[in-house]
Amino acid sequence: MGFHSAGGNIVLNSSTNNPEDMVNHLSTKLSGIGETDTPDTNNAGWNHVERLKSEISFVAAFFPVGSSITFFPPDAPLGTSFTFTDGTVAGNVIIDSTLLGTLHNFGEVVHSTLGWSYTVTAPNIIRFYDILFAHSEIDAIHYIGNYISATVNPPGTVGVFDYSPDGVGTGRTWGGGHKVKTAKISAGAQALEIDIRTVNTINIISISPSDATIIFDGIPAVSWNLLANKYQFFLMQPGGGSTSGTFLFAGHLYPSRLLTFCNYITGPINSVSHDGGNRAGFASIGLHYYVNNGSPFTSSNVSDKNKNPNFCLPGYGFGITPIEKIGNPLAGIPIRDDLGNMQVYDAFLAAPALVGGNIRILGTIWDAVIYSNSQPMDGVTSTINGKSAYCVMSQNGDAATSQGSLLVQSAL
Amino acid sequence: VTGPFYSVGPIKNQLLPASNISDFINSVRDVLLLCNWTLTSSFLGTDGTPGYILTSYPTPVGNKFRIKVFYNGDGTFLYPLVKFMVSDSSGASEQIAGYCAISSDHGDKTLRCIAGPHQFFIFIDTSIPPNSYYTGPFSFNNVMAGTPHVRNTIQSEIFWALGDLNHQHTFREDLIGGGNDLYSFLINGIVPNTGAFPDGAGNTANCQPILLSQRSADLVNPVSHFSSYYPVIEPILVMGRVPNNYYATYLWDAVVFCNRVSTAFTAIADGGTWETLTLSTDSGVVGSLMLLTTPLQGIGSGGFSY
Repeated sequence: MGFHSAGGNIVLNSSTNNPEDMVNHLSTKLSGIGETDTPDTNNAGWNHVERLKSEISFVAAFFPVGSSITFFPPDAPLGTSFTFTDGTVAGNVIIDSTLLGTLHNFGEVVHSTLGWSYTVTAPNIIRFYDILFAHSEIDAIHYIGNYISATVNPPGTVGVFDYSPDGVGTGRTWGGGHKVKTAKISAGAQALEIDIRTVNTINIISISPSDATIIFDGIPAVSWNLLANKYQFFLMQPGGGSTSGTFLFAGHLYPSRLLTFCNYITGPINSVSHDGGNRAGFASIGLHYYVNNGSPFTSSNVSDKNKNPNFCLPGYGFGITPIEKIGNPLAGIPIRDDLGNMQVYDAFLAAPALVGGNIRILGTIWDAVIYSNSQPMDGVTSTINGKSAYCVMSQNGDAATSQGSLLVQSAL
Repeated sequence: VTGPFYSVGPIKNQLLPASNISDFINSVRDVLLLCNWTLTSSFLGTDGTPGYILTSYPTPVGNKFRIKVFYNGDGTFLYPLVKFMVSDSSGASEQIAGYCAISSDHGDKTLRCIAGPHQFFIFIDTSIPPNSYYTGPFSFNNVMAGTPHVRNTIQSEIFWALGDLNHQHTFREDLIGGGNDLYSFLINGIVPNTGAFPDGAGNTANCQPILLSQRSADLVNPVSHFSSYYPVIEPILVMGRVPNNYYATYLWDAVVFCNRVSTAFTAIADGGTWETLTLSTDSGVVGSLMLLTTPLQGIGSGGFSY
């Protein structure tokens, strides 16, 4: 029963409630590398790829002459501004040579010799990266809080920093962090590689796949439980329940037949008004999600439940419409045998294999089972193969949903 | 997956002549005896027709049950009905399992029987002429019963049964029994007609014999693997009174193919040949019960794994 992440470690740990510490803690517990370069041997077996530096980007609505952007690094509270002197046309960023020089030389703001690299990723989007605010690159690497904030003067005259709904003129950036990746199921598989970053000064961290197809940035830096092995991790706010912004799962699944690999992430988006990333029930495994089984894509929960990620388990053998399931005598009860023991199933995760497709079983969550009874979440109340198991997710079920719990091995 | 649960006994798959009352009753007796059932007693029914009480072969923990097959003059639209009763190993807790109509007006009707030591399934195979004439809302063509595999290693009395009444809600058409049709069960001394609801144990409804099918926890359409193949799982049979007196048990020599099937297909796995029993075009049907139709020849080729 189940697929075991043999050869790795299993980490059950709680994090602190500071963004910098949380980012370092996550990286440390997953890969062994965090604030320092001294490896923590009690890690889940992920690989540390690199440290990440700050980035800021903004989408320009228009560029009126005389508008300015002021950047606020943490150790330069007065900020440094640059003013648009070029009368650009709405929707197009034109960086003339004067402005280029400005971008590369913010004086006291930039303490490294690297300057600010930038790209124009779209006609109206500038992305600055490799931003360091420490006095040396070594210091900067170790300084997760390497974020930057910015304001626009007059407010709203230039554009939207980063992405909505951060707000016109308020500015929002990514701080530094770590790029880490899972172990691989096979040589031909593509490991799940993620970026873990602080997000400015708003007590948020973000987790995103390295292909940046989606950014799960609705993760407040409060107290979390981390449950990880070399292929996956769960982030859970104890007692978070149906509150958005309290759950994230990222995994390199045991792939379904004919798949070389399947990487999956689900969690909260929107750093201001968190959306998704909760544990209201099994369907929460796919409120906002990322799938990569060769070509990455993202999507969100839709009204058609045939297209929403979910767990697959034996359930009531009739009915696909609510009317057909009205008479479900198994509504809200566990499936137990004549000895009172619950049924235990593989933790099959089904999701669309392509954007907009119906769900198919794409893989299995490691070291986990679906237990045919509801259990208190955030507790170690059962065992899997004699090992302690943590109740990650549970639902009571009703006429239209099966009762059950997702139990994940929490000790070797 | 923890099954399938093999009886490792004789499996018979044969046609029963359903055009003559006595021939049909005798053929039921014969096929079950070939599956190691025992003839407990015989008697005469209406018009001198034979009647039999047969006891299933004990399961590894000693569970067995009885059926009584006979003709008592019942009929429907001028067709005589052979009646099946089901009871525990001592004849107690007797309930109606179902009926089979005997017909010959369009030709000699046959019914198929797939039976093993602990269960039997009698059903109509419309692909065999002239059987397609004998289907309809008030036809009586399906009856099935068994004592399932259970976890308790101490002998107990337990059985299930399903039969047509007028909507064909047996495992031939669906994974859930009952509806407006016949169902019966016995678990831990509890039968469907044990008083009114709520009963003394706080139960509020019967749970007719139901097979589970693997699909989304939101109970939507069947869900395939990425390969487009649908899962096959152990045949989990749930029955009893809910929410406090019910069991999950397991059919013998069977699996559930977790998608709807409208035309029968066969498969070879675990050294045996399997066939889909549940056939339906109803979109609400989310799986098909597959039965082992031949004795095991030694597990080694194929396999119901994923």
